[in-house]
Amino acid sequence: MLETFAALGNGFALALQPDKLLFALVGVFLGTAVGVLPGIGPALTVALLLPVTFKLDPTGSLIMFAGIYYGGMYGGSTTAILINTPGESASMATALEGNKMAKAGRGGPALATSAIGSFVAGLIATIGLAFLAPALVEFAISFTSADYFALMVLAFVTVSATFGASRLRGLTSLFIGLALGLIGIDKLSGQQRLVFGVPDLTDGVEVTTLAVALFAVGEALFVASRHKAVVEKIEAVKGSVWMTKEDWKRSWKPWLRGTLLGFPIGALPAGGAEIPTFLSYSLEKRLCTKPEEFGNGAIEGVAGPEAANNASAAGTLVPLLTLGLPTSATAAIMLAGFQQYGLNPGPLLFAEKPDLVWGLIASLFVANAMLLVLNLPLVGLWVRLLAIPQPWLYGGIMVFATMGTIAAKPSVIELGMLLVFGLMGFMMRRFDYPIAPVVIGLILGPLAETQLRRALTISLGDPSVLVKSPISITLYVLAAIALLAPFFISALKNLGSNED
Amino acid sequence: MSDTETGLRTGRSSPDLGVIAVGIALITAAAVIYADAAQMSMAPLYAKIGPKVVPQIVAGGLALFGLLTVFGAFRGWFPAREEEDAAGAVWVAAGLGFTILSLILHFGFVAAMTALFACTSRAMGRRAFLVDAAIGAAIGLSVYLVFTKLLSLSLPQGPLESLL
Amino acid sequence: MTFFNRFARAAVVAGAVLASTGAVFAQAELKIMAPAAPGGGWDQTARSMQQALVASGAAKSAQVTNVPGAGGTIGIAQFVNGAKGDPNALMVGGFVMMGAILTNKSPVGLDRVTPIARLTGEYEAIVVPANSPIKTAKDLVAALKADPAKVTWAGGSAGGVDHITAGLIAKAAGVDATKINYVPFSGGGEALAAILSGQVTAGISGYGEFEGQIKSGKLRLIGMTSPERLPDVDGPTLKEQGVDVVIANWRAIFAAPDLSADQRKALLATIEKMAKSKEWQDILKQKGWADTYLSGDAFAAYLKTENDVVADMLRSIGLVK
Repeated sequence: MLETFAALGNGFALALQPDKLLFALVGVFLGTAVGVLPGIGPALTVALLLPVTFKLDPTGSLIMFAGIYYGGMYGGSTTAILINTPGESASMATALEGNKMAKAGRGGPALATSAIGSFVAGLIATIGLAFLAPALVEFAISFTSADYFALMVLAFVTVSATFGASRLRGLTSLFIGLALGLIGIDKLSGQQRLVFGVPDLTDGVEVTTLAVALFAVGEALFVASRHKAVVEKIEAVKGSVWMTKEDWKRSWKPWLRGTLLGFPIGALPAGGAEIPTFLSYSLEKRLCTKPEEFGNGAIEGVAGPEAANNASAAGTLVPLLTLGLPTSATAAIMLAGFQQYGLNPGPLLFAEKPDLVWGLIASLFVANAMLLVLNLPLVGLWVRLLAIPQPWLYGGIMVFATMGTIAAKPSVIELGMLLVFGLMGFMMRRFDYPIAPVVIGLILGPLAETQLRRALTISLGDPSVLVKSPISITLYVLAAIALLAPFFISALKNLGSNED
Repeated sequence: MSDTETGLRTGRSSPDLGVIAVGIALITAAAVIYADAAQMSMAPLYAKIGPKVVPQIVAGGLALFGLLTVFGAFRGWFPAREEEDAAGAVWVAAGLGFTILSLILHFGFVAAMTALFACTSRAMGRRAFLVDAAIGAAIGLSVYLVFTKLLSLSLPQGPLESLL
Repeated sequence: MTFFNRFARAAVVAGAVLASTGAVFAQAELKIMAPAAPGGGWDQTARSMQQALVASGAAKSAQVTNVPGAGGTIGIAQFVNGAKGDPNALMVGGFVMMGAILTNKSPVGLDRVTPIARLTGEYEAIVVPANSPIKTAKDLVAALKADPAKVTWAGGSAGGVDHITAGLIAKAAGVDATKINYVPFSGGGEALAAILSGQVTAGISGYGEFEGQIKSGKLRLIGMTSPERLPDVDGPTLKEQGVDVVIANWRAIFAAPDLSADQRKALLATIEKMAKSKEWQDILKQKGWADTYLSGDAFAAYLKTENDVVADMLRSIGLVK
């Protein structure tokens, strides 16, 4: 433990050198700037900058990559809150409540709770990375396909939190998402499903394309169709720009819970950032004392998922640094970054290049603090973006949504999907179908199917493998509790009221 | 799954035609998915669950919800919809449509963004089409320069872009 | 317009980075298409070529465009239509594209472009967890012969180079290649975790994916698919252990269809100059790519035999009828 502190101290000595600070600053800026662009995530930015940074020293460029990584996570949330355009799939949960808050003139507190929550989560998770990584990675590696499937089941059970007014329409939305998830090459057999001879479809539906189409394009269409009847008035600021005492009180617990979900799941080789954000969203909805506010801009629904999102980013670095396992696209590119300097992440890296590893971990703290310092003062500016006249605001949103797609994949089919799914989002709004379950279905469906079939392939078709490990049993129990608890609680409440 | 909710259409006098259309669309999608799964030839080797099973479950679910939706249209399960002004939505869709067209006909990125911005702005009720087009062009141009010159990403080129 | 200020500021910062490292943006002369998204292997090959072509003086300039999707089949279709007869157009491609053309039943194949040269390649490594009873390729073959179902393989996507390698090993061992229990994983990290934790019998992927784990002793390298031992890999080949499988995940450069003999010759010379340059050799070393340079007619002949092997194996696996 003491050694760890000493090593971390050395790391800080390295990371706080002026030139390293500059690298972190550049990384944070680039990451945020690019993170706001839908479809262009941190992975792409790091990839594009890889050849450029080759001539820099390894520590400096890796520190810059760390900045880009954390910055990208921040950037995605800003657009999700302000213009309902999640920059990446992990900020979709943030858009649900965050954009409602922004429309009600509470964009300031939403951005602030997101920035501070990300900072808190990043801080705790980076501490976890420094101290728990070796233990956590053992747990992460022991996760089998069957355990992942159990985790997906738990995630599916909690989707109902996003269903809104009607269970029929919520389930329909979810199944539309599952259907879209079928499109493309089946991962396990290599066969094409629902491709209809269109080569572009073999890669499946891109999550960001669907999310941007449903959220941003669908909304632009919907608002345009009603601008005569209902003049949507967005007040940029109503009440305080900053978080009130009440906001703080409602935010701190979700931050911590989000971190606890995000960090370990992010550390799983197939965990990702989406699942912890969904889990956090539905957990907060369950625990919230004012559940009726969910769907209308509950601050817990921003605070929790944002913390989970950032904590999972730090979690991803656990298997990368300790084992050299790249578990996300960004991590894979960062691994390539390590390798271009002849470094191989893994157990030996901590021993062979302690300066570099601890410098990197320390610079994660630095990048995190930098992001908070940069973002909080910007909140006031950001929310004024909403005061732009509506025609220009939506014009900007459409340009923004489209250019991300064009830059990531300049294909007619991809833009066609943006239009078709945009129209679908428009119809869904008109008929009062919830949007989020479609995206969740698209993300979770293929994951769950792949893990299930992979587990059964390894077990030669023996289904008992699904309930063999303590991890999967625990997850199924949690899923059962999540499913049944509302019934028990309402039964108990009824009992209570009968006694009166 | 009988939903009781606010904003019901009262009575069962007139079935909601829009909702029936939604239900039929869902059932059609289910049929397409089922047919697609049926033509897959490869059997799973070791796992008992192959590439057909999940599509069949999804198709089943969509068909069931489609039927319930049609049923619900007669029972008034769906909230009433507000009047819409199709023209606005058409302008937005047209802007996006033009962007797709410009990819096919090589109008270039800036032209596409110009039209998209101006059309969307028009959709929201502004009438200053030329001013908006100028703003759109300025945005498109600056984005083009940042993306291609700084991030070395390739964006669609047209006559204007090849001059830069 | 605070919104765009942020861009502008990022642009200035990014500009400073670019300027400080001496990157220059020149007008294009050669155009290299990477039929994949930025960041992947083909894109890295294209961008590395861009660097080496200009730095070595083999070309005045080079511009990279990305046309991602469907294992490169979208890119090649666009290349054949758009670049016909253009003596400055190049496209990166490789083993994966060859497989994708077959499995996707792409109407445009590699026979429609002008092969220039194979540039790099990565040999496949077969690994087992350190505590596995399997010590050599012979043990693996014995296990396969005993019951192919019980030998689970973790590797990349179905029908990809890892899958084909697994099939070839079974075939070389005299086991029905259709019976292999191959489990595709989408990311390298996920497959590695499954191998390390012993969920699967063996792992199969490019050597680079496993290098760190092999060196730290967590994975045992039981065979490489290279024709002979490689200088920087400490382990035997499959071939020397009596399993006759030689396969590489190669990457190559192609030119447009309908070139005149002179135009083809000029491009061959340009690429040759680049491939032999110090700049390109440095990049290969830095990225850990093997130099598998093979050009002109020899490369064209190689493509044909390779295509037969791949098509044959994809038929056995059942992905091509």
